[in-house]
Amino acid sequence: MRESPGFTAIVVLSVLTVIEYFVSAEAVAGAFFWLLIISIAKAAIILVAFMHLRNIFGNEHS
Amino acid sequence: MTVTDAPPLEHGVSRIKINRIGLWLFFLSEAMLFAGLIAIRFSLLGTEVDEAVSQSIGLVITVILLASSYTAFRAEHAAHKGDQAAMVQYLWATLILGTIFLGGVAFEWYEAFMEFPPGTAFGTVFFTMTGIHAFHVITGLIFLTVLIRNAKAGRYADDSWPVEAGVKYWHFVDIVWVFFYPVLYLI
Amino acid sequence: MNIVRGLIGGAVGYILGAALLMTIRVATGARAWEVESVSAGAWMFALIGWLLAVGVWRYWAREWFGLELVPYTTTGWRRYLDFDTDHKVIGIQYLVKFLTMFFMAGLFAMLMRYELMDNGEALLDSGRYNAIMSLHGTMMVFVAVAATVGAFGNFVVPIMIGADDMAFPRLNALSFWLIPPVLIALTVSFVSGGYDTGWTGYAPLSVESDVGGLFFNLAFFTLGLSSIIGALNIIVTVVTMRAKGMNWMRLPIFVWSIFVTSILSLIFTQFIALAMLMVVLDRTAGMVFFDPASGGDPLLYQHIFWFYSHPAVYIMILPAFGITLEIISHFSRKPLFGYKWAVGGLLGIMGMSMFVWAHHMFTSGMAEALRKPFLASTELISIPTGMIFLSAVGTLWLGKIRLELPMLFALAVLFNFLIGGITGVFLADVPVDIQLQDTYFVVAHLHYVVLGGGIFGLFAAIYYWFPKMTGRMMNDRLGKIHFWWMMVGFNVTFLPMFIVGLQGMNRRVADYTPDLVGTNRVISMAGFFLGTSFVVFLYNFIYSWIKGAKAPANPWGARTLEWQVPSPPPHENFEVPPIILADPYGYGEPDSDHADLGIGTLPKIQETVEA
Repeated sequence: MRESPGFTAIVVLSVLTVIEYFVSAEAVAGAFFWLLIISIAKAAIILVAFMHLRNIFGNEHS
Repeated sequence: MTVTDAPPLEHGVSRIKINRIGLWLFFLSEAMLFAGLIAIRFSLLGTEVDEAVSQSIGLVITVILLASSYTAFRAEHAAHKGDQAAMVQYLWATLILGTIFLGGVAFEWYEAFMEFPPGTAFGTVFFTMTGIHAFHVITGLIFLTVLIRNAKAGRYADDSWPVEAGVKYWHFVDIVWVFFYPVLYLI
Repeated sequence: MNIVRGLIGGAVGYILGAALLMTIRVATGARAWEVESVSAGAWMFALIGWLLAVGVWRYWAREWFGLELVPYTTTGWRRYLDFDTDHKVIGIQYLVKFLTMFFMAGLFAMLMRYELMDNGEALLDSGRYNAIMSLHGTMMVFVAVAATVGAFGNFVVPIMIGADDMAFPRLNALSFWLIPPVLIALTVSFVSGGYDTGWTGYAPLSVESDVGGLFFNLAFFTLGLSSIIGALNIIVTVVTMRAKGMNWMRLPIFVWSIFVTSILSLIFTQFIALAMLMVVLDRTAGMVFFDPASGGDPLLYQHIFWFYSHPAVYIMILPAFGITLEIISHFSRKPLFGYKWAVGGLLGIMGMSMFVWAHHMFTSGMAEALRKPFLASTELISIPTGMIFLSAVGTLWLGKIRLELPMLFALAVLFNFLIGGITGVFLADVPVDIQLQDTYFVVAHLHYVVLGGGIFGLFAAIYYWFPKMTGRMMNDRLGKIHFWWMMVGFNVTFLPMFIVGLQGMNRRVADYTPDLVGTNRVISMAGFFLGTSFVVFLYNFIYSWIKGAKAPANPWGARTLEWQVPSPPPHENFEVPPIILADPYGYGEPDSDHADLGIGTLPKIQETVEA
């Protein structure tokens, strides 16, 4: 696979979304809890991988 | 006083960092608005979801918005590397995906008016949450349009901060949807 | 003129927005013109139009479209009417704007006291009384929330931390220029019949009120927008723009208080925006947030509203605490007692303020299980408040106290807030609160906190920083007359209100039982007495600004940075960036200086004090 920043992140995000969908559709036990965990994980991925959350604590560029 | 011998502050915070902190604080503030909306949703509806929401539209627009976040990320990446052409292409891709998302929401609204109008509890929550989110998507699209227009004039060759800000805002809108999607469609 | 241009821009925005909305309404088969639905949406367009016309377009937005910016050439007093980005100009703009609002709201209070001189209807019928009562409350809350932060947070904070301006000067100007539309919306609301919900605007009454209620919602929404932007700016400024050596434990306590206040407004103001938005949606879009028949919940409004509005009480009072501590240290010639504990108190109040909101709702019918936790959390919050009081009293102890005007007001804050705070403990107690809810006891309590604490703090700040802001001294004799007049008038007005409250006089009602006539006469007379004290202030304020004696750079002999620069400060505040050497309150330490201004003219503070 050629060097492609962010690609892994978007693949993981898509997989998580599909899992989310099936957790709901199949009415897995404790669905609410799992959906919460998955949402937080997705948000964390976007924050860290896409939005460079760490940048505000350091001084380096991009 | 004991405080006098504390070490002096590392001085000289760069402009871009000042801007970044401002932007993140704005996100923090906005996050409270969306958190409030989610709290209202659980307060009024418990964990009910109306059967009539279209699961297929929900899944499709969610994936589209996530994909637009990826293209936005690539646009910022290109901007930092100084690749103006790629940046404009990715901004266009983001703009188009965002517009499709908005179209999906509009279509969903059209259906929703029949099934659960604003005069029902679920309709009230659904239209308010998707509406406020769509408002943010629209402002994001306007932001992207201005970016594309100015990028063609070569304005961001030296200073990529506006691109970074627009892209970060877009990611933020995406994160909001990451939480809204399960709350409105799945649970 | 700029304001005329802004009004035209706002009108054009309104018309464009209305046209757009009416087109959509016609397309969806609704009646084209419906005043509330159209106005609510068009208001947003009017705001954008106003902002663009008032200066955002010329000095800012043109560059988004690749156009040249209009160079800013306004000079002299006209800068105060223009989209100026200097934080000192913006501070004075805020001050004048909110003082105007304060006096207007004060006049409404006079009307209310006139009506309440006797039982039965005198001047106003109950509808009109309610409209005036609501407008008085709303405007005073706006003043208390935004006046001190807007005026002194803008003017003084950047100088105190050694910065040349705020972090985002244009955003700062924008946050001020959102304030005039607030006043316009309130005026429209009043002209179109007012609203009778009080400043709290509880649903479902607010959903059913006349069109005036809608403009109240829009005004509050707009003020919220302005506070969020202003708070964000102050936080970033304090975090990033401090001068070299100004570390967190050397910040003047006033900067800390404004910083903490700004964090509160940044986080919680979103909830008032949300509450207002929900009411507007219920009114205009047929939604049912607060309609129990369709699955809504009226209590939801109170939860969301107080989740903002209780922290908002601290947004009103914390800047006053900051000013009080600041002034007490400088005028007792002593280091601030327990500086770290005072900062801890401010942070403690900030942290706890989000867990106390439901004490406003003990009688609302919320789940009974919520009562005890909120009783406990409310009473716990008096601990950090007590730390601040301890710091104030400890600083006074054995100090070389100089009873100058700002000091008198600062001491009055302590006195009044003590009464307000202690009666707050009564009201936090569930059984007492059930008895006293919606009586004048609550009115007296909240006025002791907000007027006796917050507004007295505002006046302390005005008297303290007036020489710095205008370059002229306030007349001391008139100031002292004003102080004693206001202090006596205030206490004689509001202390008896505790008594009539205990006797069962209901608030927000134009009438009362005949046995309370005597006390109410006293209250009204004292109220008029209090009202006239501001005539003295206003005369002094205007006269001193124009003809007062020239102020020296440091009339109070204070150590903080703003007094080390000329009065009024030059455009860039400091000739070279200052370097902070020690904490700001090191009184009594020989040869210690707060800062090195790099110009070799550092005034020897200790000497000026002894002289």
